[in-house]
Amino acid sequence: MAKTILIVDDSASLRSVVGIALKGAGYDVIEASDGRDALAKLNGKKVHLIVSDVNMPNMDGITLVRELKKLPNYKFTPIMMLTTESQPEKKAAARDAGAKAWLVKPFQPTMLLDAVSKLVLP
Amino acid sequence: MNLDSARQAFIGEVAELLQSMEDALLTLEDNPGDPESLNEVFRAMHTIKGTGGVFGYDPVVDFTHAVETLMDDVRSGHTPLTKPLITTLFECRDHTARLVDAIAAAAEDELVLDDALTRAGAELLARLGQSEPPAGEAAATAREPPKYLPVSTDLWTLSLQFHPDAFRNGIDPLSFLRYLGSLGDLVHVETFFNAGADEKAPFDPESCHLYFGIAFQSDADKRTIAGVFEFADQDCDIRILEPDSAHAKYLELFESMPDDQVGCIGELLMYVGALTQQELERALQRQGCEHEQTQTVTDTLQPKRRLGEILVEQGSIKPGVVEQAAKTQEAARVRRQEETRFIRVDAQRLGHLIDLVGELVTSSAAIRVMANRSGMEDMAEVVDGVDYLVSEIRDNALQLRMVPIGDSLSRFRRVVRDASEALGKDIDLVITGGETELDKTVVEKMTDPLTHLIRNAIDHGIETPEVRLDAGKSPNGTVHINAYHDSGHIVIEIADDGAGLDAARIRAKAEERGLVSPDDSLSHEETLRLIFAPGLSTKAEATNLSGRGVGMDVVKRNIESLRGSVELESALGTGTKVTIVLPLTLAIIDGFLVGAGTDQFVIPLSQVVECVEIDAGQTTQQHDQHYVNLRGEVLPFIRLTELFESQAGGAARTKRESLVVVRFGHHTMGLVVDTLLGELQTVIKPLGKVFERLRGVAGATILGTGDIALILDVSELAAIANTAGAHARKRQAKV
Amino acid sequence: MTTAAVPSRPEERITLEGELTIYTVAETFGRLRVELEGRRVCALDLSAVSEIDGAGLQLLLWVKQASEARGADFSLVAHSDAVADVIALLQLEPRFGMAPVQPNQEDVA
Repeated sequence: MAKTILIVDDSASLRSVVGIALKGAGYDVIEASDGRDALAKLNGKKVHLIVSDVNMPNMDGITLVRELKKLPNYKFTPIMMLTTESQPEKKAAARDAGAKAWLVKPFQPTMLLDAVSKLVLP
Repeated sequence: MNLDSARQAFIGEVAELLQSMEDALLTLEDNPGDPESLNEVFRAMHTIKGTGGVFGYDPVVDFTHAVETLMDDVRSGHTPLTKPLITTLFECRDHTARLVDAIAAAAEDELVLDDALTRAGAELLARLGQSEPPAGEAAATAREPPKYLPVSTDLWTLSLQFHPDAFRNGIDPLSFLRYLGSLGDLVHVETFFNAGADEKAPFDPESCHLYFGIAFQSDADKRTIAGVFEFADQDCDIRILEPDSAHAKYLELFESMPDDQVGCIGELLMYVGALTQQELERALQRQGCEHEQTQTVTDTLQPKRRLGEILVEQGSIKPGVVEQAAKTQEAARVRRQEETRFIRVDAQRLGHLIDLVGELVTSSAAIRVMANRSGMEDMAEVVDGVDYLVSEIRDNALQLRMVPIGDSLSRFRRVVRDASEALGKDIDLVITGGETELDKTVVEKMTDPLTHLIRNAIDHGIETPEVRLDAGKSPNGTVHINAYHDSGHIVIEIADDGAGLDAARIRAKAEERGLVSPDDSLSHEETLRLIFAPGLSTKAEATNLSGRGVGMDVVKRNIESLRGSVELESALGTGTKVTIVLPLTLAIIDGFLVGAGTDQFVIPLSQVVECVEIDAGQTTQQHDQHYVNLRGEVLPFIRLTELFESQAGGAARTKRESLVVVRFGHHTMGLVVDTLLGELQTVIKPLGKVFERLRGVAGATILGTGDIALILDVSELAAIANTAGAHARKRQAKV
Repeated sequence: MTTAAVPSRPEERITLEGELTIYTVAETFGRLRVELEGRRVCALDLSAVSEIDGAGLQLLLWVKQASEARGADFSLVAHSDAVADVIALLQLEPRFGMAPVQPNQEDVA
């Protein structure tokens, strides 16, 4: 049974590159463009990992993490944040909120796959 | 640094490396197994290859690479280091030097080797290859790794103790184990589950109570393996112990690590991959906490617990690795301390500095004169202070240019080796006092005369083993170079236990040449000194002269141009000793100023023994020779006014005069002067061409008053006194 | 999805289905605690477990431990591929009374 990953980023191109890489590795992928969209897309669906950008319109990544931790279906789901080096305070906030893993932008798709597979193998 | 000066620096480095390679090869001749020397040869080739590559000197790289490869085999014991191989390595060293010479001579970036050089290199490489085959087969079998290595030594040991919140934080231990499995083989997994047995702490299924011990086989390094758990580090205590086989790898890395990168022990262990950043941080944190605790408990200053100890206890690393790291750290610290004691300075800059100090000395003397004239007392005090500082600066500046003579003497080991091999003689070179320091400029100028003297000792002094055995000596001869300081001078002795000089034959030769007449009476020493006479010694005749005299006049001239002197001792059949006495420096000396007539002279202070006042009545004159009775001893003396025909003569004779007793080697003599003017720092200015042949004078100096004083050359004055004595004796004999 | 262990009567079996993960362990644990009360035999049927994670596995270890503490016979009578994967990963076959996955191993049953 393939593992499902939710990818949340306001950049459609990034989502598609990441999506292709993850699907190629054998994951099922759900895409969302921001935090609010992510919550809508999830709607109780089972996912094994959430990969989310930090800065997004409507609902940013840190708020998304806080929201997810309140939902019984997602409170234990590992969350990986995509951050830039210049945001140490965001990283701290995300960590406090419950995000487990980080990947620094920009990254190669292989780096993402590597990081993802440490948390969830396909 | 532009490319050209970088290139010059490279050439300089190569010269140094090749010198140490040569020294190492010489050591290896006596002790072929010496690991340090083997490393040294390897390192020299390796370093030249590496740097040469940066400059794109492909011929150098190709050649040194081949030698380096061979040395690697020798080091690991795959190729035996035979005598012929050492000889070939000597030639390889020389060839490398020639390659680099070609670079130095070549136009920028254009390195075209002439065919002869290329052929010579190819031939050497072919010989390197040939010296291998007998060992080739053995090497092939030796290189096979032993197959019976116990499997267990190749296993990583991991322990993962997950925190209770791990599951709730989205951490699934199984994911990490699966990922780990992708890096290697999970040979054994032990799962510990310890919860729920205790009724008081009921099992919470959402809390993690799992603990894993894993034996893991993988080629991955520790950093990669630790990377698997990068997202779990908040939720899990991770311990990763490397397999025993990794120890050897760490040790290699420790050794290859440049000293300047050896920092604290934690960094060192991280560098080689024995420790991860997280492990280090954890240990450091613990070290800090424990330290704080002990501070508050005991209220005394306790040293922090050693990091290595904590790391071992924490299970991050095995004790053996920590121990080795500590050793590496210590060794690097020692070496670094040694290295930082030295910096390279352009010799020209030092020369310029010393020139300036010379000017400063002269200027400060002028100030003293002005101060004395003005009669201001406070000023005199200030001038005293300045004088003291200037003399300190002078001494320190000169000290900068002092180098141990041993560095330049060690090159003679090669000279002796090559020459004795060519002549079929067995000669040991013994160098003592190599740490004795003298001015680098003097060292450079002494190379040729010393080479001459040593060649002579080998060529003509020391006999062949057969002859020596016949003479009842040990078959191997010894050339002994000894250096030491003696009252402001350096003395270099070159002694051999060879055939010695045949005074009778020298005398015969000298008479034949018309240098002495048959009825001249000469002491043994005087006869020996004849070999320094120009015309007596040319190379062709030298061998006839019981083996000595090759260009000895040139040697003597070279030494004298350094204000030094050379003396000979020799006994037929037992050997010859040449003693060279040189001033430590060529630039500035402490002098003793005296007045004679209207002129002033400087005598090197180091040669002044004492000053006494004398009456004219104390002196006697026999023919040209003056003698003074000094406390019952008869001392020859020279009156400076007479020697330099200074004005004032006659009338002054009735006045009281002063006698300055000077010493040179084992000669003692007096100089009679009118006034003693005291010590002064003397900057030696060479005399112009016109005065070059003025006997008894080493140079001139400018006094504070602006006047010029001549600096006396005591050794030449001694010779003048002696000749005068000899003439006197001769005349006596005739009468 | 069969495993041949100790044959057990259907009423002695405890069957777990679907997801056995951190999301379900609390609920499953509650149910098992009740089921285990007064049992002499605990035969787990995991053939319908679609997904299992570390928390799920830990729960299995607890069941085994708790049964044995009560003097009940514990056995794993059936398991799905997902469960087999995890047990193989942690090399827990002996503990769950399964033949370790080894080449040339004859089927003991």
